[in-house]
Amino acid sequence: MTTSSFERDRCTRISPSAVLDDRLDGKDLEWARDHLRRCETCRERVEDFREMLLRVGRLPSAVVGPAAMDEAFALSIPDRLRAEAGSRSYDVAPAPPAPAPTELPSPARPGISSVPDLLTELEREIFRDEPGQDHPTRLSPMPEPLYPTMAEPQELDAEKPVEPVPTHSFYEPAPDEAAPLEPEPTEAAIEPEVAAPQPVEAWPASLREVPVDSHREVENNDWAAQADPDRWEPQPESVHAEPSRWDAIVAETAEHQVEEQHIHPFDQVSEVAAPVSAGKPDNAMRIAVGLGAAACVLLAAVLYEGGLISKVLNRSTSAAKVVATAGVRPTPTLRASISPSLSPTPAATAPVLFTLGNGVGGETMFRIRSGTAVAAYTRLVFDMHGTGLPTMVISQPDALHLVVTFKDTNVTSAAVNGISTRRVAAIEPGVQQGPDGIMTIDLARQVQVKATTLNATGGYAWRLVMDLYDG
Amino acid sequence: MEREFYSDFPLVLNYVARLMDDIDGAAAVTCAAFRQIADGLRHRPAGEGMRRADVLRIATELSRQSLRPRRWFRRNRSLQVTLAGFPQAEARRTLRRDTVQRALSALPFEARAMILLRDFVKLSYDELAEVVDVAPRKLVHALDRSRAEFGEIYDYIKF
Repeated sequence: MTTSSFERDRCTRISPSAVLDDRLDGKDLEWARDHLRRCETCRERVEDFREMLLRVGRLPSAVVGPAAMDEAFALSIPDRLRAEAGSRSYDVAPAPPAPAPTELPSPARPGISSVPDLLTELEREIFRDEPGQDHPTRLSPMPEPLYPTMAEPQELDAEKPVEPVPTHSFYEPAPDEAAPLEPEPTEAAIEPEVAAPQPVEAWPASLREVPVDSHREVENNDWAAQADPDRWEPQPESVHAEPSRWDAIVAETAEHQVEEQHIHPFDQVSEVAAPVSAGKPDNAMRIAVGLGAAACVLLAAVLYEGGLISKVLNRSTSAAKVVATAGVRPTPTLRASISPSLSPTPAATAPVLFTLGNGVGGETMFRIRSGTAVAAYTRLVFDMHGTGLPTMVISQPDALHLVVTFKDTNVTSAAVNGISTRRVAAIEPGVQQGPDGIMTIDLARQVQVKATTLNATGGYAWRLVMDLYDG
Repeated sequence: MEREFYSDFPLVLNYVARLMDDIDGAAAVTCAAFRQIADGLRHRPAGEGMRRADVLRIATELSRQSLRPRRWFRRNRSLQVTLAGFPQAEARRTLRRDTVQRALSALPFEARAMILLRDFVKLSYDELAEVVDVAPRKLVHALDRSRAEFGEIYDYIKF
């Protein structure tokens, strides 16, 4: 836990992290104590590191209100699991302030009490005989900015009454006195909510289906064009005193229209309006539609030439999964997209390419790494915790899917997002079928598979290595 | 699971916000991490809840992938989740003007994650080794390097 080197004539024998994080014991601890008594350089380094540690530990935390928590819960936890969990039976504290540390004794200096107390103990030992001498690298008070909406950090103030740095756990309920600390949500900060899809409501019974003629021009409704009755002025009487037959027909039609206008509700005026003879064609609209169609054809041609359409088609399944994982909103479409039907279940007749491993059970496949510096193939490495290699069966149900079955192994904790290469479109989340874990690899093209296993050595875990070559 | 979510979510959200230096995009990553863990819980024995280390590991991985530069035709859709009243404008501004945060954001991703997980989230060494996938015996030296680099950057920019 210690280093034995000098860096620019500066002693670096002590590893400050080992001291501060209480990672020393036995002879190492004795040696470190002895060295810290004598080496001022190492003492300063440890103090510097302690300041760094405290600064990061005092970083303020943004407050997440109960409404945001509820919304995040709805977004994060699928409905099926939420139903199992039931409704929340406790309140969420608005802000997690530090509980009053009444039981703790007052430390010698503020800000140092939250770290492991090895150095404090050392200081007591070192300066026990010199009570007047303080530590050479005393923390200087730093001006901190105000944190109006984030949880208030503990100031590193020497004059302030001794108060430990917030060491409260986030799992502890917040006391009531912190409630006023939670700021009211600023209206400007609230981003507009995405309009949730409204459920389709049944049409009211008073509405009827209305045939729409898209070529019909806007009607010039004479009734609307008429003057307001209040401002209506009497028209001069017709010159012809004797009404003709056509006048009678026109008058009858007008009466009929007036009756219908009064009978039908407002939203059915278009239904009863008399069809107007076809007017001038809407040339502007037709030109716009034509130009749009031409642009679409041109864009499709460009994409086809660039080969992007096939990529998009190949990536459609992975895109659906990315959306599902990102989980913008738990819409029915989203839930439908994460259904496991995307991945083909390993059929019993799927040809088995490789069977590897030593048959060890109880493993955990915890990570998948992808990529290689060599462009000729794509390497996928499955890292496994445990005492050995489980039995791994690699099968290929179809040309664009590979299924790796880890016998008696948990595979659900491996992150699969973002693994996308020239040959691998995506890796689907691990599925546990009884004790066996199944990983499905969506291929972007046909590949030839080479697989091997590697034992755990050094910092590496047990590994399954798959190299995918172009088929 | 619900209790674990309500107790872990603010911590993970703040960790991701610090890690990505993006308080706006942190909610999406955090929700995705919890969702992935919740999906995985279906295949675990009944009564087994979310482990904080698992959530943080997935959140770290998603943050890394989110920050990874991509070519324009492979660019992922930016994940945006809008939570009611989060983040507040003042919180966003505070994150930007925080000197410690600026120094953290100048660190490499692994070093930043390691410092935040140890000193901000206050994980134990065993949990930290599991999250960042570094052997426990190497963690001390990795933390030493990360903290030293962080201290140099902070001393350089603090004025």
